[in-house]
Formats: sequence, C-alpha cells, structure tokens
Amino acid sequence: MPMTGPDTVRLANVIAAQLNYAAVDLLGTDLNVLNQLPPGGTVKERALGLISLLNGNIPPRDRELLEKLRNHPNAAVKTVANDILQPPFVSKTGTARDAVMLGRSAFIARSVLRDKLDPEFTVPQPNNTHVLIVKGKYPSGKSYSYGFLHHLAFQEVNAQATRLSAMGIPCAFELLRRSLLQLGVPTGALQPLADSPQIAREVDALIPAFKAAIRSLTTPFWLVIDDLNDASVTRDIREAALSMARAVEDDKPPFLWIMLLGYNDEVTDDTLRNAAIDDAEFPTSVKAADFLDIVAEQSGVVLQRKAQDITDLLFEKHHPFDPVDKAAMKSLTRDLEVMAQKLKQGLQP
Amino acid sequence: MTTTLQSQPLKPPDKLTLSQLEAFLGTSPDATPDVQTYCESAAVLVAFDVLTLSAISASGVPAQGNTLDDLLSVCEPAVQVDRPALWSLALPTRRAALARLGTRAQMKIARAANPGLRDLTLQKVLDRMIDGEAFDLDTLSRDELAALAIISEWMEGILTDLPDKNGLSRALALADILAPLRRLADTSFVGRESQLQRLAAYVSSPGALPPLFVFGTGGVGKSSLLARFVLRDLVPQGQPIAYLDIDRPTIQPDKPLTLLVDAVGQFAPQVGLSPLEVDPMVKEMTFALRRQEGGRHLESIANDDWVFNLFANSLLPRLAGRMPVMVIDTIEEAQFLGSEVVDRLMQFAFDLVAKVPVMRIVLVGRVLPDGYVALAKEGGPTTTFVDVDDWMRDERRPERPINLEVLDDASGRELLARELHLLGVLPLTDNELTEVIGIVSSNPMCLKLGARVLRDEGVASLRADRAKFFAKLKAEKIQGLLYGRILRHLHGKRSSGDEDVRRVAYPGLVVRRLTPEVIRDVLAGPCKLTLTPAYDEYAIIRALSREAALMERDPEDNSLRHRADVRRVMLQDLIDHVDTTVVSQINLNAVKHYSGNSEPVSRAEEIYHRMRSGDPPEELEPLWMEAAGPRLKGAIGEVSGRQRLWLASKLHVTLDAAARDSADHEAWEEQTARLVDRCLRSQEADKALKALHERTMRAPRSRLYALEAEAYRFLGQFDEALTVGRRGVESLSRVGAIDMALELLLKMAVIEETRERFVEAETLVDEAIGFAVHSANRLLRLRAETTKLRLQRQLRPSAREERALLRQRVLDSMDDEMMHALRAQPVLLREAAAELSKQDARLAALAIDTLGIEVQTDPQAQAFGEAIARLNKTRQDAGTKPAITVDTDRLQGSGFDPATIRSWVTNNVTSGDTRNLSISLAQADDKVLSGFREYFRAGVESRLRGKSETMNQKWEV
Repeated sequence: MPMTGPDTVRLANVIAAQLNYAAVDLLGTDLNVLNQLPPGGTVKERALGLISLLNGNIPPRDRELLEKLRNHPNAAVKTVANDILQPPFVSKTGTARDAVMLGRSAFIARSVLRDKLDPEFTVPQPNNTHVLIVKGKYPSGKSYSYGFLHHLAFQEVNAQATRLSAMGIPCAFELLRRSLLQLGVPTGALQPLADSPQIAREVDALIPAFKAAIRSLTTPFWLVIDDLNDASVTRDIREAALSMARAVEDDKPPFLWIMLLGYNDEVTDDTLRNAAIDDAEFPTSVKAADFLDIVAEQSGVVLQRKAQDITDLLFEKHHPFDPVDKAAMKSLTRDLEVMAQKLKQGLQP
Repeated sequence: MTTTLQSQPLKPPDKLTLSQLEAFLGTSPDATPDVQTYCESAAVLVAFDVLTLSAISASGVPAQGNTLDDLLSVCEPAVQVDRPALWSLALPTRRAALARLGTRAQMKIARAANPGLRDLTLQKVLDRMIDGEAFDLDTLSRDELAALAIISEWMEGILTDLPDKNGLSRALALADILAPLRRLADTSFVGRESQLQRLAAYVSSPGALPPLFVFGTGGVGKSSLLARFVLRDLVPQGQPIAYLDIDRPTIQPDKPLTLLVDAVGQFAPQVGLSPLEVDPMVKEMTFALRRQEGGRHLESIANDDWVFNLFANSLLPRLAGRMPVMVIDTIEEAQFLGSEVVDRLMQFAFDLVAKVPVMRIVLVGRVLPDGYVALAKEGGPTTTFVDVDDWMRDERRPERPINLEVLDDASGRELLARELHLLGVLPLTDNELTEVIGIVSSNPMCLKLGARVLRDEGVASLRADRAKFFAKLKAEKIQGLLYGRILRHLHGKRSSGDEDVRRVAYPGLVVRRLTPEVIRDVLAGPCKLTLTPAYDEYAIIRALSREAALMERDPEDNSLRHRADVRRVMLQDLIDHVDTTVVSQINLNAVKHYSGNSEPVSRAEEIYHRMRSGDPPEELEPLWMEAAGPRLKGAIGEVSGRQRLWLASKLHVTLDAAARDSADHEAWEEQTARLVDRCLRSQEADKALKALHERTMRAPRSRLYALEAEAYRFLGQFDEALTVGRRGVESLSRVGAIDMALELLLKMAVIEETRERFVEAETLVDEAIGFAVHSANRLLRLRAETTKLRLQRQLRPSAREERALLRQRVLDSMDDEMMHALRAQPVLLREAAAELSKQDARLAALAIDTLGIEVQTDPQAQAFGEAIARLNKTRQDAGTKPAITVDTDRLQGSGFDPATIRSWVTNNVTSGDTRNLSISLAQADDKVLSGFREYFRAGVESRLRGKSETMNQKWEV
C-alpha cells in the first residue's frame, strides 16, 4: 500500500452506495482522524477524504481502513475491501508464483524474479537469503514488482508486504524510522545522532537499534523499499538501505525479509553474497503476447487473432524502447491491462 | 468492432488495424474534455487535493461524479511530497496534459488556477521552468537538481530549452559526492591557507607523484580542510574528484578494491562515462572481490594490476587534461584493523598512482602510517629520501605530508568568534578571545566546545566573575576543564547546591554508559553521592541528556553514553587526576552491576570493566559473545597487555610485533595466524614466513601449520611445504582435530598436483578421504572428493566407470544447502563446476553467478569463447535470443583469440549479462555444459598455479 487511484475510486464508490455519512464518520473516529477531515461534502467526498488522508499518512494507514472494512457487515463493502487487500489473480498454472494479473494490474514475464522468489523466499530455510535486490537502470517496471511481492507474500507465506518509497526521505535516520513505523515496531530506541559531521558514521550508529527493533517482530513482513534509483534519492539513502539489507541478512530475523527496488550499485559485501538479484526488464511484444494468451485461456476465450498481432500493434503505437520512454511504457501497460480486462469479460477485438 | 465469445470462429478475421484496436480498447479515463481540463491544471502541480483541485475553465468548481472518478483513476498517491491526502498525476497522463497545454504561456494560465505549494522544492522548480527561467546547474542545490531531472522528464519533447540531460545527470552525481563535503566545510571553516596552497600545488604539479598524507589529531579539522580544498580549488576547475570515507558501508579497508569500485562510481559521471561503459569495469572488480576464499590463498590470488589497467584505460581517454583527485579519509579505521591492513591499503594507493600517473591521491588520517613512509622512501614515482624529517621539510617535494596542527592565533580567534556568533552568543572582546583561546587551545573541536560552554554560561556571567572564571579554567587541563564547565553549569541550574552532578560526571567517564541504575549502583558509592528524592539519579540523567555536545543516546537501549570523540581525549586526563582507588571501585561495581545479564549491551560493559580491572583472558573467554563485539571496538585502545591481545583476537584485529612478543603462546598463535593470513592475501609470503618463524613451537591444534605450508607453496618451496604439512597432520590427528588435518592433507595434495606428481597427490587425497569419513563438514568432504575426481581424471582418463561412480557420489550430495554454502567457497565452487557441471547445470549457473566470467589467462579466455559460441548457436537453433549478445562469427573468425575475447568480456559484458548467462546455463543441455566445464577446468588449472592474470598480456596505458 498505499492504495492506487483506481482502487480508491472503487472503494469510495462502494462506500457511497452502501453506507451513510455517519458510518464514514464512525470509521474516521475509530481510526482517530475524524478531526483532520475537511468539513461537509457528500458521502463519497467524505470517503475520498478519509482514504486520501490515511493513504498519505507516514506510514500509510489505508490498510487499517481496509482491514476494518473487510470485517464490515455490509457484504458489498466487504467484498471490495477484500479484493483490494488480496486481489484475485490470473495464473497459467493456478499457482501464486505464476500470476500474470493481480486484480486489474498486469505482471508480465519476469520469470527470473519468480524463480528467485520461489522457493527461496516462499519456503524459508535457515540458509535462505532474506534479501532481494531488483535492479534496472532504465524504466523497466521495477515498481510493478511490489504488487507481485505483496501478492506472493500473502498467498504463499501469509506475510504482509509493506512498501516504503525512498523518494523524499531526507536522511538515513528517517529511512530507518519510517521503515520501523511501517513494520509497526517501536522506534523509540532509534535516536538521531546529536552532532555527527560525517554522514557515513550515522548509519553505523543507527543499525544496532534497527536490528534490536526487527527482532521484536512477531508476524512475518516483507519490507519493500522502492524507488531507490529515483533522482531525488541520495547516495546516503541508498547506502542506508543497503546497510539495512546487510543487517537483515546478517541477523536473518525470523519475521523479516527485505527487498530493495532500484538499488543499482554493485554489491561487494560478503554478507550479501547469497542475496537474490533480479534485473527487471520491460517485457517485449512476445512476452506481452504470452500474457494475453494466458489471460484469454484462463478466461475461456479462444483468441481469433494472434495475440502477437495485438501486442505488435500496441508496441508500434507506444514505441517504448526507442528511445526508452517511461511514460510510453506506462501507457502501453495500461492498454494491456484494459485488453486483459476485456478478455476476462469474454470480449476480444 | 466488439466480438462476443464464440465457441467456433467462422473464418479468420481480417488483419487488425491500430485504429480498430484503439476503438476496441475504448477511451482512457482522461479522454473526455471535462477530465482533460482538470488534468491540465493538475499537470502543472506536483501534488494536489483531488477534492479541491480547480480546472482552468471550471470557475473553481472541483471535479464531481464521473469526472472525479476518471480523474482519480489517472492519479497516484503523491509519495514524493511529505503531506497527507495529496495525489499526483500518473506520468503518461501528465505528459499528455502538458503536451495539450503546449506552451509556457498556457501552463502559466493552468498554474494560476491552483496557486500554492510554493514551499515545495519540486513545485518551485516546476514554476521556474514554466516561467522560463534559465537554470545554472552549478548553483542549484542537490534537491533542486533532482527536481529539475524529474521535471525535465515530464517536459521532454514539449518545452524547448530544457537542461542538457547529460549535464544534469553529471551535476546530480557531483552534488551527491559533494554533499558530505559541504557539511564539513561549513561556514565556520577558517584559515589553513598555507595547507590549502600545498594541496593545490600537489594537485597541479606535473608528473607522477606519490600519494600525499594529511595527518593530525582528532578534531583538528583534517576532513574540513579537504572538504574546503575540494570545494574551493577543485570543483571550480572541473577536476574530477572521488571522496572515499573508509567509514562508509560500501568500503571495506581490508579489501582495497572496494575503494576503487566506489571511486569508479564517483569519477564516471564527471568524466562522461555512461553506465553502460562503467558497468563492465565495475563487474570485473566486483567479481574479483568475490573470488577470494579463506585458507586457499594461492588459488585466490588477485593481482590489482588487472583492474588498475581497466580503470586507467577507461578513465584516461576522458580526462581531457584534467587531474583526477581521490581523497581517502579516515585511514585510522584501517590502522585500527592492524598494520598489514593499512600497509596493504598504502600499497594499493601507491600502485594506483604508479599505474595512473595523472592521478592524485590524498590520504587523511590521525598518524602517518609506517607503511606509507616506507613506500614513499622507496621512491615510488619520484626519487627516494633518507631522512623523514628532511623529506617533510623539503619544499621541492609537493607530496610531502601535511601535519595539521591547531589553528594559528588569528584563525583560532576568527573561528571562536564565528562559532559564538552562530550560537547567538554576544561577541567577546579581543582580550577575552585571547584568554579563552589561551585556555582551550586552537584545536577547532575544542574551540567549538568552548563556544558552547560560553553559550551555556552566558558571557555576562563570565564578565561578572571574570578573574575567578579564568583562574579556574587555567587550573585544569583543556578537555577536563571543558567537560567540568558544562557539568558545573548543570549543577548551577539546580535550586539547592550540592556536588552530586559534578561528582557523577567527572569520574563518570570511567564508565562508558550512564543509566539511573549505573549512577545508583556503580557511581554513587565511590563518588560519595547523596541522592535525595528531590534530586535523584533520574534527575541527573535528565540533566546530562540535554548536553548534546558531550552525551549521546545509545540507539540500542536508549541509555546515555559519552560521545566517543570527547571521551577519547578526556579519559587519560581523568585517570591522571582521579584517585586510583575510586577508579578501581567504579570498575568493580560495574562488573557486579552487569554480571549475570546475558544481553550484548551488559555483556560488553562487564567485559570492558573486567579488562580495565585486569582480569586475565581465561576469565574473560567464557563471557565472550559475538554480539558484544561491536560495542567493544572502541575499547581496544583503552586496555593493555594480555587483555588487549585477547580483545584484538576477538575483534579480528592484528597488533604490532612488540605486542605479539609479550603475548603468551596461544595469543601469539592467534595474532600470528591473523597476520600471516593477511600477508598471504596480499602475496607477501616472505613477510608471512618471517612472522611464523618468530617462534618455532606450535600448539597441538595450531592453525599455523596450514599457513606455513601455504607460505612455502607461494615461494615454490614445495618440499618445505610438505614437511611442515606432514608435521601438522600428525599433530592435529593426535589431538583429534580431524577437519584441520583433512584440510592440510588436501593442501598437500594440490601441492603435489601442481608439480604433476599425481600418484603422490592421489595417495594424499585418499588419506584425506579417510579422515573425511569422520568429519561432519560437508564442504570439506566435497573438496576431498572433487580433488579425487580431478586426479583420477589425470591418472586414469579411460577409467570412465570408476569416474562415473565417484561423480555420482558427489552429485548426490549437491542439495540446496550445499549450493548456498558454495557461494562462500569460490575456489571450491570453481573446482566442483570443473568436474560436475556437465551433469549438474546448477553448478555451472552458480559458478558464473558467483565468480563471473574469468578470462584473465589465455586458456580460460579461449575456452570461454568456444563455450559461449556453442551456447548461442544452440539457442539460435532453438529460436531463443542469445545468452549474451556477441558477434560469434567474429570470435570464431579470430580462432577464439584470447585477446579479442578478453577485450570483449572486460569492456562490453555487463553484470546483468553475466546474470543472464547464469540463468541460461541453468537450462542448458549437456553439449553446452561440456563446453563450460572445459572453461571451468582451465580456470582451476590456472588457479592451482597461482595465475589469475595473464602474464603475456601487455596493456597500453
């Protein structure tokens, strides 16, 4: 989490259709944010305000709302909350590891990532690594990995995946503090150094408290630190994330796995020699066609055209590779997702 | 053009066109004019509240109904903005909306619909771009540069006059490098003009020069000097710089190559090397680091020349007359680990400047290492010298070390005045400045601490009782005085006067950690405290905790601890001034207080105070726990004698020869083993033997037998190696040290193998296998069996059945646990892959993933060329893309020329390619795998003879 825009719309609409203003306010009261909501508005606006507020909290609290709603007496609300928390998936083999659609999101190809995670992360053994690094110097769908990690963690090991974007985090201390907040463990032992002229020494001083805190976890978590390759993320933050990964690998705490998305520097540390490394690559037209074939097959649709003809047209429309264009990749992915949705509805071009 | 699901298609449909497909997919949520106007407003905002966003033409009415749904469907949570409840447009929608706006004028109109958020850097930079302001990349902050990079991506192809992409990424990389330096060279930096000039002269002097060493005590301002030098003299000239702090998590001082990996990452963007150009080089360095295996020194040899050449070949053509400068700070961290670590680091620095003569290296540490002086004396790139003092005074030598001492008088006054100003303290008169400096000295750290005392005391109160104040200052030593003043200041804040806080504080430095319980149980008695309900141990802790200059929180348990830098300079003063019986009692109380607690914090303190009390190592040993180690690192300089040796061994630190001499035999062996291990890693077998021969006696379970045999092996003295080995096997087997004996026998076997006495080697391996039956160490058993397989192949190549049986037994042991363990044993992994990868593709994949592609020797390069050609051909035949893109015809056409293959692998193959190759091998057939098996065999052959680098390859630098 946080929740995406389309999920937010879906949830707000079902709340507006099924609940009244007072019920939304009750949720706000339960979550202790009622006084932060702007006054007035429709039920839907009230719901949107509540979701947006929880979504933007540090750490995001949208999950708390969804957990409440999945136990709500109203069946429609309950269904939507449940769908967002655990999106239904489409998989060629029926297994979670081969899922290509998670709710409405596509997760295409990435066989290497799937192989690295399963069984290394899904069947924990004492020797197994607790660290995954997803590299990708260019736009390549690294952040899409989170949806899959979230899905796999839940489906295979009943772990909660939680995503922390490194964007906008000002210092190592804050990265560690927010990580602990997301894991729901006390942060009190983590104190900023009183006066540290050399940034390098700050992380070393913070790691013991981080280690002590993660040992106190009692349920499994996959902590996903995302956007490490974003321009706004400084070297100090990247190195702090690496130090956290090293601490986790060193200790192998029973309830924490850590994933660094976009950490592109070479890892020379012996501690991380067994870390799983994946090179994210944006799928080719062939892989995208495989994706459509799987969705069609799983939806009982006999495609009357070659999936490759469809994906070739979409790649020709968006031309994501020449030059590499992140926006084009996102638009193309959106079209593939719409196409997959249509196939699921039994429609085809 | 929508078709519902049909059970049977009637006829193949016509060829699908893009417009038909688009019609089928329908419009995207941002396709309607209403939504588009909101998107256009949102496109010029980094974040917005979706419920209050105004559209350009909607007269301030927020989006509602389907429009709101559609708008939100193309939004993402604004994670980059530290405010709740905000959203931002997804990238494709933003770019589409900006493209519709098209011009700066239209964007300004859109922006006017939603003013605000002007305090966010990202928004400010976006506004400036919309306003058409020019950006001077040299003056932007790191945050502004990052914002500009993000916004340029939004605007690419839409607005003109965008900042140059390469220039922007260069500026951003440089800003990252300079960030720690800007913090160091803050506004309070003063003076040091002559040192700055000397540094400038060193960089600008022609020809090759040895590294320059800047040394001085803690707090004297070494790092600040270098920071100022870089920012003032190098950056404006465009000199490429790399600032490497040994404290950084990516640097390991005992592996100097990690410095080069970091340096490449810093230099590359400054000299215009693209990530694609850098990756192959960094990959070579990273894999070279991974190929080291403890105990198998000869097979792990890595000659730094190999990577120096790669580095030089990439960097030099891009310099365009500039001098790359590498600053290596905090050398004392390497010194802490032992002389051979710092010596190796010094050798690395000297070798690097020898290989890259235009490179300037500035080393920064507390004391001048002997290893540095010795190398400088040897001459290096310049002429030699005889007398160190003469050398340091010789003004014709720009590389002579800089001994950084306290500030000169004028600079000291200026720094104190500036610090006082920054802290909001009233200015002092000239006389007052003189008198304060006379007491606290002109050490910048002491001046800064002194300024804080003045802030806390208040200048007015000093003036009220001036004579008394200065008299007291003069009566004590500088650091003790500063510390005492701050504590007296705390004491002075109390309503009723007693001396408890001062008493806690002054001997309080004997303990490293302060908690209310420590004050009560450890300090109260010896310090004669009279704790009262009104002012108890908790009140004292609260008072101390406010003093950030002297105290810090221990992040692990939230206790207070003395700042290490302050404590270090004050402790000896304190010991000199406080009654020894008080100190002893505090130590005894502390031991009692902490004993019985098994968590690492308490255990570390118990060990610390026991060491300070002189408890012998045999009593300390049962208390040791690894988790306590990091908390005792700083204690090594505070204890002496056997305690110091014991702690050094526990912390994997080596001590000097004098310290070793005084050690008992067991401690001597441990220290010597550490030293010899590090010597062999840096291929200094002579030095290793010298240390080993300090004593002839060996403990029954001595590790030194194996190390001595290895040292002789390095020197080609095989008979001596085998004699020592046999003596070791007998001693070790007598006391039941099965694994050590087994390992030694295997070492003896490869010594015989290296000189092609295969029968003798096999006899030794058989003996080893006899031991292996009793060993629980699966890796050692694998090593014995792999060696046996290799020798069997040499001795009886046609006995395939025998080999197949042997092989199957080994293959049966290859479970996941073994695969994981092999990553930490790169030499054994290579050997196992050389024997078994044809039958077990996982081994080939794991070996490539762990060891990279090894083409340093001609046979390796040739074998790899042939293997990759076969792999790609197989994949091509199967219609899959090549594992690594390479012109196979060219490789074949050159007859798999090793130089061509080496050049391709080192200059073109990336780390991602290497991982791809590993993945391809995991699914390869046995024909392909047999090619790679030959390649691994070539690697084993080279390594057994200690060849990691091609001997006949000439590099042009």
